Amino acid sequence: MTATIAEPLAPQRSERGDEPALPTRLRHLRDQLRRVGDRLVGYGLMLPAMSVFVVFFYVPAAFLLYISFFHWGILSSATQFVGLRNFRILFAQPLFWRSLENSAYYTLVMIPATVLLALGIALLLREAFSARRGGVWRAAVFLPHVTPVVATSIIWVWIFNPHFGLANYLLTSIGLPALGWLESTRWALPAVMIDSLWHSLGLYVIIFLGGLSRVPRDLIEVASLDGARSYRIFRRIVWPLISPTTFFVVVLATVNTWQAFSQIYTMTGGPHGGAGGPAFSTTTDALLIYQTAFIYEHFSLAAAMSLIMFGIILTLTLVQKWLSDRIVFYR
Amino acid sequence: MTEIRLCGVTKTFGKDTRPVVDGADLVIEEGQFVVLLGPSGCGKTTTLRMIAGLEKVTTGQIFFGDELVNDIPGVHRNVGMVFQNYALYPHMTVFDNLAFGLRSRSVGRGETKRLVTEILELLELDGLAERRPKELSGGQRQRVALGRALVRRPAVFLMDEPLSNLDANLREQMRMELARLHERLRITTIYVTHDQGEALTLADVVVVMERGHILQVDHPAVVYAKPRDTFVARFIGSPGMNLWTVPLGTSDGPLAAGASLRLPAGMVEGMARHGVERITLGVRPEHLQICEEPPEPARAFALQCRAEICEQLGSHGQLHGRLGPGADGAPVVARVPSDYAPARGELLWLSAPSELVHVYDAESGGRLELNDAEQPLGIEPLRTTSSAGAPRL
Repeated sequence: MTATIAEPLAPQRSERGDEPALPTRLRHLRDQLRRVGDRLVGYGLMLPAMSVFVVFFYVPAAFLLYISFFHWGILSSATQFVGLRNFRILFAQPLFWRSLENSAYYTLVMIPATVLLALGIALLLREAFSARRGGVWRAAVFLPHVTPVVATSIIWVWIFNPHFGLANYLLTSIGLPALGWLESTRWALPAVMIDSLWHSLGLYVIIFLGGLSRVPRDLIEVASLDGARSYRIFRRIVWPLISPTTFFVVVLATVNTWQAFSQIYTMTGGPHGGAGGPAFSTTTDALLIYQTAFIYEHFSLAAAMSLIMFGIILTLTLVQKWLSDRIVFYR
Repeated sequence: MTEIRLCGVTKTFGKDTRPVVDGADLVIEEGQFVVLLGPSGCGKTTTLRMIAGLEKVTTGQIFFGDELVNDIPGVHRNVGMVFQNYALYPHMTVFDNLAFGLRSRSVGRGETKRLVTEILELLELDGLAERRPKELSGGQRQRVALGRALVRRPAVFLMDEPLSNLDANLREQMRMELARLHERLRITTIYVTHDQGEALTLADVVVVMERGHILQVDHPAVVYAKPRDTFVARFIGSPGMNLWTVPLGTSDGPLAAGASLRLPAGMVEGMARHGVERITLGVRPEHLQICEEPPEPARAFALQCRAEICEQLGSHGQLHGRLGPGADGAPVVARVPSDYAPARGELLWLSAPSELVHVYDAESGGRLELNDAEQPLGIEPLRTTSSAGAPRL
């Protein structure tokens, strides 16, 4: 009987010459094991971060989706499938519509104000200060963003006090009438917006500074030699080139603004149990979700509202993405 | 077209006391193609940017014609500039890139279209008008950058290393196109480069700069044939001139170290009177010839060399060796025939006609001119100095 020898019998040296070569099949098996080992190490390294993400993000999100179609209470064991009833209840509530209206108003004012102010400050910092001196100003602009929202909002409550606040002092000192600010249904939300802008601008200024730093100085110089004045250089050269940054800021600000909670809660009397006033003029979507869940304990309704808020933010982001594909210039 | 004059122009940045450009005096005649040539950091780009109005002059004056332009912003100097990386507006089409300057200056729509179309034809860019810069090749981008600077009919055309991003073949082709373009338009042009090939082929006048100083302003052939100091001698030519700093001797004929040269008697006396004890001798590698026997010292400069490496460059070879019979002499480079291949360590004689030997004052680095009266002068090559390490004083 003859045997066909598929693998060489004599031990071979590997290409490196430091270990005998293995038969092909064994070599494949060894390589496969190595690859599996590499993957396991990779997953192992990701595990701590992923666990936090799964436990505190994916599981609650899935649970929220689940209870929005059920009647569910935190202390109640009776969970009942109710279909779309939670959503029908919400759509019948005037306060829900008012909260959406407030959120839309808040977002629609905040987004352009954020972009204009952050870009303006970034341009000022870039043009007016050298890299070394600018560092101090950049830090100064960024500092409010890293201070606790609640602490600074309490200070803003003092500033907006209609009787002894700094805001009214400044208004009256230049001959303008004093405003009711947080006690006025008309001015309460604008007061919160001012606080939010002050608090969040630093982050967006830094993002814009990053975007501006990527606009080659050569282009500005050649445009100025071409005879373009500052506004035309900004409008025709800088603005199109930083459009990806602007798009990023708009998306980020939309998400953050629609979800704004802490400053509204703190400034409109949350610590005293009456946030969202006066007369629901500052009751935004996020605040109403909080109140529905943790004050009135209608968790399923709050879950349904969260789902709607998620849908709104997702839609806005997709619309922005659709728009960006047409107007944003990516190099 | 405009004549440009720089009078004692100096530029310092911030609190730095060392000027980037130091007392530059230069006259650029109307319609001339002037090349500012020098190594990185010599101040050539800063000089160009001051002429463009992109940098303020610290001291000194810049004139366009009779007009002092120190305080006139670049936009009003009527200059067109081409940047090293083209600086094309990436979000605009070729047409819009060319039209931007005209629109910024409120030129009418019809006129803008006519001028842009004219430039597109001139630079053979027709058919590419609707493309964006990223859809163009390097050479096409370069032509668009040229077109953008030209479309406004500038009085002065400034170019900052415009070909440095192109590959060797394209660079050569664009060099010829630039020369043709200047021949046709005759716009006063200032061109910055560190590439001597570009400088020597394109320029009417070459301005060699180093450490903020203008060292020589001359026709390219003169800069090559009579470098004004050791820096220019070393910088111009590829490879640069061989330079050896030697003590001034009196003996005749080839010395033990293997070199001899005749210098004019008047010059020797003059040098002696001025206390010159050491001179720097320079010979271009292409002027050195291999000879079987040491030539007659009365007729030529000759030196003995120990061969080290001979590089083959296709059309010719480049012999690297050491001066003198020893192995530790100063380096010497000679251009040799492509089929010449000496053995490593082989001793050979190199010679050059006396008139192609350059003599510099070793202290100041300045050129010493020979005159007709000759007298033998023995020299002994030093082992410690080389062409790279020749003193710059």
